[in-house]
Amino acid sequence: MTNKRDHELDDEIMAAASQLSIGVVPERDLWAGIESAIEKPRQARWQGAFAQAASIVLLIGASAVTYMMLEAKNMPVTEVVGVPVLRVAPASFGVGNPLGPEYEDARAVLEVRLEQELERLPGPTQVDVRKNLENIRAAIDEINAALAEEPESMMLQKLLMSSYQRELEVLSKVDGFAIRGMPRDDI
Amino acid sequence: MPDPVLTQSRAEAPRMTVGLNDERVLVKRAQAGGVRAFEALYRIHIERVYGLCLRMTANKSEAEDCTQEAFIQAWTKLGLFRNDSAFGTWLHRIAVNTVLGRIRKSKRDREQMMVVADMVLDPELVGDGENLEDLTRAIDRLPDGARHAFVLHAVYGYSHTETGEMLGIAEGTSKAQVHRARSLLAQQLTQA
Repeated sequence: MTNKRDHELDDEIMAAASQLSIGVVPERDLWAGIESAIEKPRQARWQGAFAQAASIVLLIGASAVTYMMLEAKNMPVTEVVGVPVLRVAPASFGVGNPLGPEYEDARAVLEVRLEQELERLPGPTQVDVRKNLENIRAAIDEINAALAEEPESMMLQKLLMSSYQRELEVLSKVDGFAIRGMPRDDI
Repeated sequence: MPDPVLTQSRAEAPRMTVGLNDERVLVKRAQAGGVRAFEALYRIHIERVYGLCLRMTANKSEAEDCTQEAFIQAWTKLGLFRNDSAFGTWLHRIAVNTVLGRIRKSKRDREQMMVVADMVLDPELVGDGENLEDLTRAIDRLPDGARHAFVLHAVYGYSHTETGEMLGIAEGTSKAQVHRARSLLAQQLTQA
């Protein structure tokens, strides 16, 4: 009797279970979260592809620039019109006190190389370098003139030395020589 | 002639109204990367997948997470789906695996386990009739193994073979779990 009731109850439970709803509408739309999750990897893949493409473009661009620079080195010398010719006065420490022959020789070599190197540079750069050297040399002339009147002035002496140093730096930069530390034991 | 797979479970029955060919077209489009096609598949199956997750977890928040995770996994595994089974069945398998995976994870994390264990499903939430409220609550109080087997077999109509496959247990174990569930439910309902 109990078994029969148990079976009946079992059947009732199974019948009732089959009536339970199988579809439930979520209280909130879950698609937005799903969509963002499945779109992210796609974007990441695209971004990765873009990064690869960008690096290739960068590599080609850098190679092209390097090639052009190397080619420019071998380009024929171009004449730049309207560039002032540099005035080279003998280096002296005050009027009537020319600097030592070693310094003059080094300066003369740099001057020659400066002209050669300047001709390889683009026109505007040539003009800038020449203007800088002109300014420095004009300052040296003025300081020398002042030193002629005040030969004991330590300030003018230091100023003159730093001006010559500046002139050498410009010359060496153009020439590519690292002679910034060139000793000045002749003055 | 109806697809025999579609007649095996209640879960698949409403899918017939969508049209098998239409769904296959949507699956193909989704497999080719069509997000809108996948969204259409989501709209078709969301209620059943969410319902299944809700019955199995007895937790609204967990069910939402499981549902989302199941659809995301379905998207990533879509290339593996072959039309030798119904898409809905394939989706349900993923959902069941997701639920089981999350439950295993929850068991490793005591706090989450307590949250799930303390939760009792509101019959109104799942839309069960008034006369079925007691049964709904009783099902939710079942132990995990018995509840999962009972929900898949008795509520969703999967055979013991399918239920066993979905849960990763033998067909005999599925039968035993459903039998245990019925006994426990009978006890609860007669005591109420």
